[in-house]
Amino acid sequence: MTRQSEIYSLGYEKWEGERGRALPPWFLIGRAGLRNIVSSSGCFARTIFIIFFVIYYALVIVGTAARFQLEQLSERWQWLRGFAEVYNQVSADVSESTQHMGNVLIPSLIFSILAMVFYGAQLISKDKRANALQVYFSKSVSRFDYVLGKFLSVGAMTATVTLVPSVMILIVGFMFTTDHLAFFAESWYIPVLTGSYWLLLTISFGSVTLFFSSCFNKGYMAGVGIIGFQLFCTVFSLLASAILGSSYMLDGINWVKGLFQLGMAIYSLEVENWAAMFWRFIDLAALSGVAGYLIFRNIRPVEVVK
Amino acid sequence: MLLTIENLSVSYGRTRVLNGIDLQLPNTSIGLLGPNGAGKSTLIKAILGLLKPDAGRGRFLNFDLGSEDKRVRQYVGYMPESDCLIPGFNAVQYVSYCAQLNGLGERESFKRAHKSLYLVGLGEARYRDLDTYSTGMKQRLKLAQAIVHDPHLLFLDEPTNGLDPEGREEMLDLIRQIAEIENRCVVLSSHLMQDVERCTEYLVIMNQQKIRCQGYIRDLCVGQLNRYKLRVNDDHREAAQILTDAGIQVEHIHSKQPEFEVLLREDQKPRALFKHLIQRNIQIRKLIPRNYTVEEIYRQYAAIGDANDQAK
Repeated sequence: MTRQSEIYSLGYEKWEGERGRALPPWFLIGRAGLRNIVSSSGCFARTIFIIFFVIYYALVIVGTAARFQLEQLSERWQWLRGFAEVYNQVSADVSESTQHMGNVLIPSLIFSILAMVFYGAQLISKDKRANALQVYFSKSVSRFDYVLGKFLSVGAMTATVTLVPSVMILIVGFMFTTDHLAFFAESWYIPVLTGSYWLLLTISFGSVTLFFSSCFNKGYMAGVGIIGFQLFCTVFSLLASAILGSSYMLDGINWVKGLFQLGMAIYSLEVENWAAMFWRFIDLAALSGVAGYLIFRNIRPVEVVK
Repeated sequence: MLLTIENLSVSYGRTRVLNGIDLQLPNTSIGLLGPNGAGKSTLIKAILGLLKPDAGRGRFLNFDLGSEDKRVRQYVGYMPESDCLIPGFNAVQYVSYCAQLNGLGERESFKRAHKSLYLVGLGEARYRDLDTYSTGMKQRLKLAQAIVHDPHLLFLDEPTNGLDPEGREEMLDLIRQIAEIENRCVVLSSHLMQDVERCTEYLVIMNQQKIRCQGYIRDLCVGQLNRYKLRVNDDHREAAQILTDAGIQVEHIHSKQPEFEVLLREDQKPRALFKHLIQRNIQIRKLIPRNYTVEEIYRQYAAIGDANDQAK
């Protein structure tokens, strides 16, 4: 009879069960990335962001409720009547998707830039500094899982200013509208529009942010890199257009502006200039593609000194 | 064999780090010895799929190395040499996260994380911020994350680095106990021969990108049939002189203990030692066949690598 190891008396248990996936690794990595961001952010920064979200979500909810209930309220409170008339004249033909654009588009871009510079920049750089990549890749995790997990963290951040307010608007709108069928007919496709915009925002911001994060061991350096890159793109686009003459391709190099215009096209469901939109899309796709390729190159389980 | 590797070669850029490695690892505790830069860590990383080999193939359990690396790693534990804590976690979260990445369910992972941390002696500190951990605690934590999913093959890369003597003793005890788990294999990579000798049964010696020697320690260290270690009751220097005068080769006379070694020719019998010494009233207290130590084996095979290098 073979001797049993003393380790069993210390509580060690063998595992003969399944080693399949309860949760996919990219999901675990994405969730861990978010937890890391929350735990590492300082009290002051957290408070600022919480205040921003409370104000933003409150405005979205109150604004949407007021939009549908203004007429009823003005009947109860006479002093609102003048305001309701003006509002009806201004927004009589404004579609539900345009309302979404107003509520989502600009706040999402401002928040995304801030969130990526302050938090997204840390997503890979912190792991690199802690030498954690070799731990990840010594587990059942591929580079694709790792990068997808980090994109999920970025996606969760951008979702707070795209998907969440959009869902709020739809729920509050449906609760306060006086014509549910008309509201449904006008807004059933909005989740698809918001989903597309969220995907666009996540891929473009995610690839640039994660690229800079994978280049540096320090989060603040990556943050500076992101700001610097955006400034460079803006200045380069302007200078190149001034020297070489204006062109849609050069204009599209200013990728945040391009994102804004693509977002407008998505929500308004119309494109004024197809050529300009085409080049904006190509520039953005090229930027994301190159950044994505470089992320994969930069993420190595073992640092190789050649 | 648990792991078989054939003709494995790995390069860092243009520098060849492993050159045509052939290796068979049985299901036991294995010591991977070699000087710094021999390629021990590179070999481990190549088996784990962290480095892409230039050539070669291998098989672990029922999986092919290279094509099924993710599946392979579910059955492998790795304790790296350097610090590698994932930021933003406490010890329980960190260890359970590692278990989940290896395919265990969330509840089971947390349960096993608690047990693993108690096992390595971090039970009381398991909710503490990892930034406050000492070097010894970090080493223990690295061990906990490597064993939490009950790996079939466990790589420990210099596990006693940075530990104080007491911590080192505890770590080696723990490794020895892990090595005794049935149907599990521990590979202890170290340049400290005492660590390897104490914890392992099988030895692999690497030097200059190649495996110089592999086999069970009991077989490798088997004594030379004609070499004996003697302990006498009296002046051992005098005893050594007597035997030398009688034509017996004497070596390694101990400076403090009354001990020395003799190397007998084929025509000489151990009985002759008693005959020569009893005439001068010197008693032999101990006469044992002299086994090789791991250190001697290591020096012998490491020297082969060095000699080859000089010849080139």
